Amino acid sequence: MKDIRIWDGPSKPASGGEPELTRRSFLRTGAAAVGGMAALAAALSPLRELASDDIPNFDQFLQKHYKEMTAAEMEQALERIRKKVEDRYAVRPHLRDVKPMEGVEFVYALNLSRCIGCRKCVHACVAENNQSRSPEIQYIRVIEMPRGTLDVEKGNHHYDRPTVPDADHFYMPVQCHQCANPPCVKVCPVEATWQEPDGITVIDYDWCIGCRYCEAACPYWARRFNFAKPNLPKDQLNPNMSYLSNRPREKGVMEKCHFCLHRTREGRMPACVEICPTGARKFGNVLDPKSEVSEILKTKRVFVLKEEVGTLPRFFYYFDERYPNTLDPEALAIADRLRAEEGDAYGCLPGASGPRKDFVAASTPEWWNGARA
Amino acid sequence: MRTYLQFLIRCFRLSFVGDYRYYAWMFLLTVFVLLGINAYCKQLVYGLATTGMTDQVSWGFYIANFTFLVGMAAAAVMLVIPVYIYRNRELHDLVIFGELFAVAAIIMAMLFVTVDLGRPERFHHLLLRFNFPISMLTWDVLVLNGYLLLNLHICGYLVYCAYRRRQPSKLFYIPFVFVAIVWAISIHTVTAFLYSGLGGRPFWNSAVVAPRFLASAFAAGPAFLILSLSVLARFTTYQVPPKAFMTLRNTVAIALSISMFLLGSEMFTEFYTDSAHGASAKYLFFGLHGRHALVPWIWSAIVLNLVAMLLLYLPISRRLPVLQAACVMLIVGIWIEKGMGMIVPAFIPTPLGEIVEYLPTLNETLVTLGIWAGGLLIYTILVRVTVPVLTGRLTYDQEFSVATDMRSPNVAAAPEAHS
Amino acid sequence: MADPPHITIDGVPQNCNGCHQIFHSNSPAGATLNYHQEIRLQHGLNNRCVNCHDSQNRERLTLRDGATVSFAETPQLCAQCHGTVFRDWERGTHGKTLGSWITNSDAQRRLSCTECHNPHAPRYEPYKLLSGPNTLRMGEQVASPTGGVRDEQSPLQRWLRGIDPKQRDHPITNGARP
Repeated sequence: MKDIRIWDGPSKPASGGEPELTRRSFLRTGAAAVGGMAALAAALSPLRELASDDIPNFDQFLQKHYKEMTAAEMEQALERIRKKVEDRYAVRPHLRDVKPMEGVEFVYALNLSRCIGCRKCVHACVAENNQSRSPEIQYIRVIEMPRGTLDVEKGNHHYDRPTVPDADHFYMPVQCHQCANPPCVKVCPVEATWQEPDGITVIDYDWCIGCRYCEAACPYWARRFNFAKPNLPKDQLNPNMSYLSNRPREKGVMEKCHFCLHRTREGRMPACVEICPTGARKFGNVLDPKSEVSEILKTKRVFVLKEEVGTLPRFFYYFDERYPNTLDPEALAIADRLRAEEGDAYGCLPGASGPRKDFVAASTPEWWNGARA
Repeated sequence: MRTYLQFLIRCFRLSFVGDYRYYAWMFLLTVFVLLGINAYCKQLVYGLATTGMTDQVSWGFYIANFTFLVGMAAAAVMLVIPVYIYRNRELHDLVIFGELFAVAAIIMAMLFVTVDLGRPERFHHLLLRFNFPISMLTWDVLVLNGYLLLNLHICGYLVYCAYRRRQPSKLFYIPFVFVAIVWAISIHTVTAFLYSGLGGRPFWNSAVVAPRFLASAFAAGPAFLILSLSVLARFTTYQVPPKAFMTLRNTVAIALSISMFLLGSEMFTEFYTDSAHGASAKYLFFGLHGRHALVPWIWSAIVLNLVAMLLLYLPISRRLPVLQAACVMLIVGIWIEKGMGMIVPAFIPTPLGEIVEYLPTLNETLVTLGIWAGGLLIYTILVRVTVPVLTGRLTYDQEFSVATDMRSPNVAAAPEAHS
Repeated sequence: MADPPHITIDGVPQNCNGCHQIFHSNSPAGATLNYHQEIRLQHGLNNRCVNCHDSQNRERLTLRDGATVSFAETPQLCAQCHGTVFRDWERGTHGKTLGSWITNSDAQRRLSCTECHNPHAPRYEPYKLLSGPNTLRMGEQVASPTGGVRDEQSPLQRWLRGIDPKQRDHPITNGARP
């Protein structure tokens, strides 16, 4: 290997003397440089397929965080989004920024005794909130659970039957629980998600950087990521939209249930409540003592999922009492009369202290391992 | 100033100079870098759907490699502590290679986070609304950048002083060295807290994650340095004292033992308790509901680590080839264990009990390889430039020639050129 | 429910009493129906028409104490047996509310018993369910147990087919229990 001098030293020359900048080495260096640039250009070539509306324009790039925008800046941003929606979906959307109402804290309650697992809520939500149809994004997951457990690992997300409900299962829909102590908000590095005064945790889709830390932090698997460009047919766009809720999303950002805030902040019910055929879903203002959710919290036995993680969900599950509430004199009187008229009305013999033995045997679920009990 | 610019230019030009093996190595790395750039461009166009990640397993290969590399960066401290606290002589001149590797590893770690972002062009939002100190990710951004700057300063200062034939002023680097010791531990602790602070992921929600990360990093990092110093000793005229390998070997053996002990503690807690929180660990080690994609991986990792540990404690590993083999084994073992074995199972089953498995896609793998190749490229250049400077063959008044630098089979080792 | 109910016979709207005041029901037991054969009475112990319908005026409903109520006041009738459910319904913890969640809003409307339940067979019919989730592999729409559609048009699909055949064999689970 010969000496290669890489610069003309300022002081004493070494043995070689002349720098070897010959025509040959020049050509070689030049060829290497050209080859390198060509390879780099080839490597970058997929960028040509980047859709033009995928690249943020100057206004979007400089758009401020939701909380920092003035009214005029917000109107400018809304107009930009309206135009983009119009370009993409050929519909002029009714887009606005709906603010929370004073003295309102939203709470959701779901009656597990009534849910039949028909998944109408899932599809109503998708239609209302302009989720991507392919790849598919859904905010609500309905889990078919075997009776006798609340362990979601025993549930089935992909149940399919000719009809529901199935006698051996109950159905547990899960969506964003709008926690009062939300871990997703805590972890976001850029404050792209936060809790609003009415209890709804929202996302600024124009601020999210797509790190998916919130998705890892959520104990309810409520958050969804746009892994590809959302695909929503033009004729299925819901033009009634707001900045923080159901306006069309971009590739690479998070989204999640927001209690249909563009509806609920105007007094309407969320889409999932409106569609539910059994009235299992209840929604309202917990600060109003006369609201349905306040009544449920007062009078029903409610529970929240994963209470031990300390997230303080605003989403409560409850059951109807299967037996009349024995503390309610009115109900007690009715029960007594029915028992007198019908004898063995509830699967209990009059005067017996517990369920019948054959009832226990018949209702034991299949997965139950008697040996471990 | 002019001298400094000249120094940078000379370093830049020097990085293009070497023998055929150097060119072959750099060419190979460049090819992988270009493949990685190409794959990343596809990811930019089509979104993260080009990866194997899903809403169920929302972090994968990228974050796994990120975690591993933060550990590798922190491991430089295992050279610094013996030298600056215990006054170890053999390692003294080698510290700088650890710090250079830390620089390369931090850059790789940052690249892995960047390619994991869905909206990388919004990176500046971090500067505008920085959720500090609430979000652990912001802590990570701070400590990683701080660590990068610290190491760049320490290495850059020492190398430049050697270039100027000046004695480095202690005031300008010793305080930074001690800050860097604490800082190195902090970067991996913060990275562990990133995971262990999430109550919704029982697999991560364990206090032992941070100590485990540190222990495994302090095994894998020095093991990598053993390998890179072997390369240095083999291909350049740089003199690596043989005792240095033995010191590093002890470090690796002890750190690996602690790491295995902590892993065992974690496994005991998960499996003896046998609660619903152990589902992820069950999936990792034995499979769950008939799904067991990670089982062969984690057991190979454990076997590799155990064999490496055994070798390191036996006198046989005083021989360099055995030591190198053990190092390769434990690096691979730890890479599996704290990469895929730590990140992926936390998502399986999902918080709603669904089991969706994860495997990286080809595109994702190419991006990953590209970043690794880029990091090694940076490290190679840094070492390439540093060695002649430290050995006094490249100084402000001293010319440099390749023949005296590379130990080539074609050329007998030339006598030292400088006076 | 309209009060009283109407039916249309040969284009002429008719009330209940249009027939029932001419043709009197012959048997109070009502085991077999000659008319109203579409009615399937599956209301448990409550298996007599006149338990609820006033035997004199078919446009009224009868309570146990002999008083009558209109069809619009059905909940009072049902409450006689379903006390706990009625109590829940009054509080809003049973049944369905439409329009608005604001308690004093005019838009709010609580559905009454017979708007959800068939009074003759109040138990819900088995319900047809909608398709299940197909979100497993984003962009790659593998037919799910509930018949999801494979999307051939997705750019990702076109690209994946060209570049990475291994992708399509990605070992995803469909979540079904083995």
